[in-house]
Amino acid sequence: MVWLGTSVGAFAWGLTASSTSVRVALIISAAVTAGIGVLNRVALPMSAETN
Amino acid sequence: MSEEVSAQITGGPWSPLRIAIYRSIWIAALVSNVGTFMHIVAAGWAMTSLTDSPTLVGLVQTSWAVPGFVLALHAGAFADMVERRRLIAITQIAALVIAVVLGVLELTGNLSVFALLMGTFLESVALTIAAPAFMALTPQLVGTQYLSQAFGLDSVSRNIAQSVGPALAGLVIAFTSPGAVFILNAITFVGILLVVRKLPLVTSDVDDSAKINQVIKAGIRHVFHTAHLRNIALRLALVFATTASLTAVLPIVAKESLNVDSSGFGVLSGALGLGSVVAVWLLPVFRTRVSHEMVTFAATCLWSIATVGFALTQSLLPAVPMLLLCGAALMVLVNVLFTEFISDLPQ
Repeated sequence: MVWLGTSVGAFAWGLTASSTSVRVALIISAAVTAGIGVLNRVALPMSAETN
Repeated sequence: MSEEVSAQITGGPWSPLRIAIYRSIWIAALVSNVGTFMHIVAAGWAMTSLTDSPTLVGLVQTSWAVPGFVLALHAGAFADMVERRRLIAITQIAALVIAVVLGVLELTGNLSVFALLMGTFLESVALTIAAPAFMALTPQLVGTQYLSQAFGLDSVSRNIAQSVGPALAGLVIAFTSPGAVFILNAITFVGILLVVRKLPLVTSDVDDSAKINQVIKAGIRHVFHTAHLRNIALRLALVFATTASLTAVLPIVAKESLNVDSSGFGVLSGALGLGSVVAVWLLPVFRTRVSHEMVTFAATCLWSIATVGFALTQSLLPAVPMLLLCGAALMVLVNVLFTEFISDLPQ
C-alpha cells in the first residue's frame, strides 16, 4: 500500500505541477492531505473497538 | 536453532542484537537502507539537471516505488524457489553494479533521463526481490522467541534510514554531486555482501509453513478481512500518495522557485531529514500523552500548513524551518500508522 501510494502520488503530483506550477501543486496537495486527515478520522478509524 | 541463540537471555526490544550474526546483518542492512534513501534524494536532484519537467522529476520516485507493489508477491515466490543466501548476494551485487554505473554516468556527464529512471527502477527491482529472502532468514537467525523484537528492529532500521538518509544525501550533494551519492550507495551494499557469506545455508526445499510466499498471501488476506487493519493500510496508501508531492517536486522548487544550487538543495533535503530525526526523539513523549488518532490528525494538519508555508516562500532561509516541520510531521504520521499496523498484526 505504501509503494502503491508513493508511485501513484509522485506521478500524479508531477503531472499536476507540469500542468499548473510547482507552488500550486504543493498547495493543492496540502489541501487534499488536510481533507484526507479529516476523512480518516470519520471513515477510517484505527482502533479495533470502533469497528 | 544454534547454541548461541539458545544461550541468549530474553530481554527487551533490542535483545535480538545480542545474537552476533543477526547484529551483523541488521547493521549492514541499516547502512544499505541509509544508502537507498540517499539515492532517491540524489536521483531527484540529478534529474533536474537533465530536464525541467516536474512530471519526469516525479517519475524518479515512481520508478523507485513501482517494483515494491508490482513484484512483492512474485518476489516471495522467488525466495521460495532459490537458495536465499545466494539470492540475497546476487541481488545486492546487481544493485551495487547499477549504482556504480549511475554514479560513473553522472560524474562523467553522460547520464540521461532514460538511464536515470531505468537505473533507479532496476535497483529497486533488485532490492524488492531480496526483501522477502531477508524476511525469511530472520526466524532462522533469531529463533521464534525473538521474532517480534526482530521485526520491530526492522522497523527501527527503516525509521533511522528514512531520517538520516536524506540529511546525509543533502550533505554530500552540497559538497560534491549526485554521482558521489550513487557511488556511496554502491559502497553500502558491500556490508551485506560480506555478512551474507556468514549466513546459514538455507535450501529451497522448505515446508509449506515456511514458504514466504504463503506467509505474504496469508498476511494480505488477514489485513483485508480485518476492518481496522484495512483502515490503517488504506490510510498509509493515502498518506504516501498525498505527501509524495513534496519530495516529488522538491528538486524543481529548489532549482526554479528558490533559485538555489546543489548546496542549497542539500540544505533543503537535510532540513527534511533533520525534522524526521527530531520527530523520532520527540514522538515517545507525545505518544504517552495524546491518543494515536489525535497525534495523526495533528501531524496531518501540521504537514499541510508547513507545506503551504513552503510553497509560498521565495528564498532558502524561510523554506528551511517549513521543511523541518514537514519532515517531523510526516515521520510522526508514518511512524504512528506503522506502529499501529504492526502491533495489531497476529504473531
